[in-house]
Amino acid sequence: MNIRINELVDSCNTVNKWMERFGVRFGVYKHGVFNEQLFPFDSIPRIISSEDWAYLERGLKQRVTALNKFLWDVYHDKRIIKDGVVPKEFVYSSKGYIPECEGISPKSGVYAHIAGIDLVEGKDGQWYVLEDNLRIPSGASYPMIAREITRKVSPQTFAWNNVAENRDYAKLLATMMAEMNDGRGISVILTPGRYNSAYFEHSYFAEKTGATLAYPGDLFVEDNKVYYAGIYKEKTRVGSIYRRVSDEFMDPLLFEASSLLGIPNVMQAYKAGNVALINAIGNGVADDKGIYYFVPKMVEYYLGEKPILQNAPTYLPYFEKDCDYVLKNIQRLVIKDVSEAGGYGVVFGKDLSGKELEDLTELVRTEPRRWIAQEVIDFKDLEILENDETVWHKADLRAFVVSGKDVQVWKSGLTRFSRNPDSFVVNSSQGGGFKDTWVMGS
Amino acid sequence: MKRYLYNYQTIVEFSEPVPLHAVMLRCQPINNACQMVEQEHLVLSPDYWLQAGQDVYYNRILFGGANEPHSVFSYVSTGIVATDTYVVKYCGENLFLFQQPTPLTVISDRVLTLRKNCIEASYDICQWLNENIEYQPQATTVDTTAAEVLKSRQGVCQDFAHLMIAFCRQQGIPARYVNGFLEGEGETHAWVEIFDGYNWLGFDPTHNRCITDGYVKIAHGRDAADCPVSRGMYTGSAQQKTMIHVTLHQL
Repeated sequence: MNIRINELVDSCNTVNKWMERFGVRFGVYKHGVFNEQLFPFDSIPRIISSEDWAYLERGLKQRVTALNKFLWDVYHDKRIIKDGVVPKEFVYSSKGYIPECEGISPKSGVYAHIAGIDLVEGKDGQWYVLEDNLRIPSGASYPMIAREITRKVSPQTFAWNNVAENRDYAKLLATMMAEMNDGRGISVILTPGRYNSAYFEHSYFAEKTGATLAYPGDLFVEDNKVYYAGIYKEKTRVGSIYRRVSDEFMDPLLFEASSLLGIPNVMQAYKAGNVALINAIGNGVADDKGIYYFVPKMVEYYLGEKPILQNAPTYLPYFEKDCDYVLKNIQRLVIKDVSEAGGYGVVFGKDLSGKELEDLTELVRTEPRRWIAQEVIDFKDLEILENDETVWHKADLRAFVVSGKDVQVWKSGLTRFSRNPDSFVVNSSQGGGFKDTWVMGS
Repeated sequence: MKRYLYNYQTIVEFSEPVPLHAVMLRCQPINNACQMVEQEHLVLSPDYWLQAGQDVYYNRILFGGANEPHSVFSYVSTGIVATDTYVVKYCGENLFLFQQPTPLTVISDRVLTLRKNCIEASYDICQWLNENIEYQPQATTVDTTAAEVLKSRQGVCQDFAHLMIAFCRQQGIPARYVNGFLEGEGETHAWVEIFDGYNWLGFDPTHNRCITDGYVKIAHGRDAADCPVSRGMYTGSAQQKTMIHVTLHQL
């Protein structure tokens, strides 16, 4: 591959200034205080060859298809539990399992309309899935707008290099929303409001997809149908809601009663098939860190195929054999609390003191269901420009898979890199920056 | 067989008109093998849009609301129900859900030694609660957890039921929370159903007894949060005052 990026690299500051002007930010709550941060952009793109991409694309489609089948199964027949492939403890005691979703049948059997699959590339070139995000994965807007701006700042770069087009994400979203909507009304994006960490993304998607950006209080249910109340209190029927509000806040009459973000009785309208919720409610049961272990088994179970994508080698202390292994090797494994997200609750055995290791060992022994343990993958460092010097940081890739009638993988993704050169945690809530992801044309 | 006339009345007053009020009600007795609703009436004021449905535990629900400013909401649910001996048939429910502690029914200490048989164990629990927990109307709220009751040793029927459920689940006995009407006059009552391997049997830990009759069931769930008689949500800054009155008389 002959890549020419000098001009783009030289214009890194310009790109960041443009992003600042466009308000490309994400919010972080720290010690109860809300702060908006810029998301530093590094102009050296991550490059994925068309061959590598073809492999990832096949693997991602397969994985997300199996995950959607699993979600349908969990809330309907429960074959995978009855057949002993996934123990019931992992399903029903998962925080993400929502009994109120039992028997609800989303259109086309799609639960995770938008899936964000986090991958890393090992030093040996092998890709591993680290996490599936099936609830309300965020992040696609950053590479979208970065591409938009870099194309303006350095149009030559895209003339020189054969980079696959990625400006179709909004169209993928809009098409999927229309399919789920089925002509019942307008499509809206429901945001919790401007104090949400991904508010920039919500407003940007609304602008790009042509959906209405709805705030809490704009939507209400009448005669079991959802309406949007306009500024003149006119009523407009809503057919699909791309909601960026968490499950537990969606319906104060069924879930968190104090929620002001949700729509009272929306679950009844959803159950009756009068509105589509994107993503479906209850998806957390499939992206639980404990369930992750079983995803390759789901692929085999539902699709009768060999899994194309690998999980990072994972052990479940719940199984006795795995527990012995974990306890013996705890100092070189990474231990994750299954109930935590956002890069929290992740401990590297090698970083712990003797006393801390003992405490963790005890916790794993007494509450085996709460933990998973993984081999530390030595994943590839990516080049980052820091004050005109090249440094190497750990980076992952969040790939976005959009499922409507068809399953489609967006030819791009969010490449995040860690804040510190030696840190393996690349979650944007923990600092760090991002890169554009170039999938090369064939 | 006994027949009862029930009357459930609620008045919600808002300190100023609310633009939107949405509700979900469980105020009508359930139909099952030991309880049959012969007649029922429901009167609502003002005229909310309202639809009937079922929740995930097969309880009857009514949901609806009003999107016009109003300052009072009231309803009366009344009817005649015939009851047989209190044994509720198992209908293939997911028992695992009723064996798992919920935030309202989780306790960590093991304070009780129980007999092995689940029915004997239930009697043991009721007996212990009767001796150790004081019935005290103002001591707790709807959000009080079993763990808190275990500490304070005070509560009302909801707290007795939650604590009994917590003890049962510690033992692996599937147990669920029930609300309904008790013969007499006052508010709604709460009790417990335990699964004995074949059927769901009723225990009233507040009165330290196994339930035979005189109880009209409305709904059940994993805990009180799953099956409140009424749940509402309104917009605006009004204060809400709710009055509830229940009567159940044998015919």
